[in-house]
Amino acid sequence: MNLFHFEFFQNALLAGILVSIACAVIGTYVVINRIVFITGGIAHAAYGGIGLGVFLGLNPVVGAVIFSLMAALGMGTVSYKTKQRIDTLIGVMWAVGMAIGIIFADLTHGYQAGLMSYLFGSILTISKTDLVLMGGLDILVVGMAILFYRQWLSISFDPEFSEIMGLPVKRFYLLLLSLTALTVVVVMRMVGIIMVIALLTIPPAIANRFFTSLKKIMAFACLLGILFTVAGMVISFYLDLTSGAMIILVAGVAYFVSLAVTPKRERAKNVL
Amino acid sequence: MVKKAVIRLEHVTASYDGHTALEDVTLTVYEGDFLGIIGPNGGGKTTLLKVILGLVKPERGHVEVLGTTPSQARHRIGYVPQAIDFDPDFPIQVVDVVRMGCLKYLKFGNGGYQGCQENINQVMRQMGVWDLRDRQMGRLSGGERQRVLIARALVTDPEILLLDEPTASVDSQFQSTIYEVLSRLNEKMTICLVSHDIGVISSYVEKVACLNQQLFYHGEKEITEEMLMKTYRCPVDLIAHGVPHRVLKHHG
Repeated sequence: MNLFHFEFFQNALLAGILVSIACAVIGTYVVINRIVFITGGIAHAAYGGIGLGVFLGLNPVVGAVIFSLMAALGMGTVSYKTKQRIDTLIGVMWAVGMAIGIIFADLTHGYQAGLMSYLFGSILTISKTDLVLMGGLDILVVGMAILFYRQWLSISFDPEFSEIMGLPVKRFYLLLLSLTALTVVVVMRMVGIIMVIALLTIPPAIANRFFTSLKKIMAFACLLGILFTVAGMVISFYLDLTSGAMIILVAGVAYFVSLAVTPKRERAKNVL
Repeated sequence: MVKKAVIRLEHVTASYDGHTALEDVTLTVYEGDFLGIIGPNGGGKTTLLKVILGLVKPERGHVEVLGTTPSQARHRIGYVPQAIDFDPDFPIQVVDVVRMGCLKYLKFGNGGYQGCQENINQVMRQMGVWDLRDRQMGRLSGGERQRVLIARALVTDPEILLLDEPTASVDSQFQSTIYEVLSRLNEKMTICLVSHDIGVISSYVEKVACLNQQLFYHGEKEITEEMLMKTYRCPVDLIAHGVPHRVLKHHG
């Protein structure tokens, strides 16, 4: 029995590759901007949208997009204005988003099982529509990243100086968060809301230990993401375990191994 | 010949992070000046620079830079911040930091971006950071970083150079090198720097002002006892270090 002959697995494989591309690009910015928890807040707020979508009989993804974009713009605006207490706001949006989702699920008769798949992902039921959506996201995200490479690098490193240089810093920041929100919604289908942060942050975080240029980090993170998703799917299939969780476990193990290896810091100490 | 005023603040009051940092500050900086502003930490020095750059809007008063508003003029100012709060693992190479200075040509452009790129090489050699160009910014020493930030400000080809504590993280040997570089740059541009280090500042700059919410400035390189008393209202640690006495001996 060869796994790679099944259509569902081919779809899952392709989804893994497509999602890894978007995650590598957006995740790199998330990591270097230290907005991992804003991203977590966006992901969990999206659950409110899923609940609302189910309740109204709409496509839950539409609800998720609306809620996650609102959360991204809201938190982005507040965190841009004041650097204080943003973690509290993130925590509140995180929990309230989930609560809204659960209440709407309660109010909806019958249809409950589908909601679980958004929490934990369902990579093996990826449809052709999902693949098209993921491909579209990749084109958007990669295109933006190439187009605004210098601007985003500059703003991530030193927003104040970038503003003096005439860059619309706030607009770029909100654009980044909006792309993050879209990525979260798409990746959610794969590994679920709860584990989305891991797929966004682990590959770039590992890559950052080995490379010092943004381009190289993105490329290497992309390869790592593909490796983790494929390995996780194969293992989960043979052991009959949840695929999303297995992907994250593989990624997590790789992350801790990379912490143990730490080539970059050692070298840097010698130089200084 | 009457010199042109490049920075003009009139009765400016501004707050930062919720408390008043500048109170009724009036200051005129003329073209070609080399002005040092001293004052205690928390005395509003950084806020003053941010007001000039238009990053902090004053509550009262009027600010004019290069004959226009601060936000209109700020791309013509080279700004060297005291320290950038960034992760040492941040993936940016030294040459990319310097290249940030060229970003203004994307907006204020006319194809200046290409010329700016060619300028990078020369400016980095001038600041002695060309050999560091491929290094990661977070792996440099404090002094090296400072030179990179000055280089970044210089590739913008500024008319005014603003520096915030340019020698704060630099070893004493390199402090004088930085000031010598600044003296040479002063032939081409107006320089305004702020520091809490009275000793270093007074031996290089042309004019000195004292700032502790209020600004005391006679347009000369002279710090009077009165200025110091007003600036350092509670100068316990300063007197303990004997710094004012040294300055007064040199210039009193």
